[in-house]
Amino acid sequence: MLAIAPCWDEPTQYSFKWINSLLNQLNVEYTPLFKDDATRENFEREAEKHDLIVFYNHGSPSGLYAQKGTSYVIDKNNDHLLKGKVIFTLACLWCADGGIDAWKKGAEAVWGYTSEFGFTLTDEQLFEECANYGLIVKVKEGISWEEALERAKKKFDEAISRAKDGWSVIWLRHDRDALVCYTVKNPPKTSTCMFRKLLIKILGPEKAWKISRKHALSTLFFGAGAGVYIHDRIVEWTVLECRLHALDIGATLIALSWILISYDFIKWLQK
Amino acid sequence: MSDEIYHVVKEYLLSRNDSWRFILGGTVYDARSLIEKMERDKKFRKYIIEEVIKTAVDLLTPKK
Repeated sequence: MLAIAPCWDEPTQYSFKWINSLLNQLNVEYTPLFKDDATRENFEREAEKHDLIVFYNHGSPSGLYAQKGTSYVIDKNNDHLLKGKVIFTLACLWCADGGIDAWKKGAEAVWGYTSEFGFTLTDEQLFEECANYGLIVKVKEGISWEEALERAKKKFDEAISRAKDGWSVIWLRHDRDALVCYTVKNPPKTSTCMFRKLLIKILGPEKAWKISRKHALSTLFFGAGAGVYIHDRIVEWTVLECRLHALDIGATLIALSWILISYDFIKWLQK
Repeated sequence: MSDEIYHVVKEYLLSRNDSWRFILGGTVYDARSLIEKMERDKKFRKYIIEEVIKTAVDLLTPKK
């Protein structure tokens, strides 16, 4: 496990405390990228050695911040390194955009928040428990990420009933609703397109999102055009004489070129 | 209606003690600085009121 936790301002002092509590409870081996070590370069060097990456600190829709908050540890330019891995975050907003991009590029599971994470010091312990619970229950009980998400949301509900401060209730509810976990079975709600959803189910998110609408449309047009042509030729050959025209040679060459282009496309898709 | 909710929120925050802190993203608020922020930033005030309403709806919705 790779644990990344910058720490430089008051809010990050809490997230730093919380990740340390999480690591103590998990009791698994981990490589720490804490404080000044929480840099993009260190992440890129370490990423391939780990299947699970945990990040606790500030985030934005574009990325997860490095130490001092002037650059990103992870953004859309290096989130392909998360392919086949799980990323568990406590960071504002990343799952509104950046987390979706990481998932589209093949991350196995992306855990995080689509909005700001808010908490009160009055009930800090409850917020910490809720933020850490998903990974603890996943690791200790070996349940699926979808189930871990459901359990984490229930943990927020339980915390709401235990909160001492009314303001905590508002932000526990807010954080619960902002919490997401993107997996193949639980994809982000980014597409209402029936075909895209079907492709995600068949090919998985990484390949499905590589297929552009234009490509799908061109395949559809090619299929329809080829169908019309074949139908016409069969009718002509059945009714009239069976003779090859220059038109048929042209159509065969067009089909052949399309097959060659598609072969390259499929190879690229499988990369 | 939102003015009435804001009034209640303000009263609630004014009743907090000096050590009360609320952290939202990268900002740490005490009750007074939170009220000040809501006074000068109408968008933020609207956001807070929406969160209050969503919570009220959530609490009143029977859980399955």
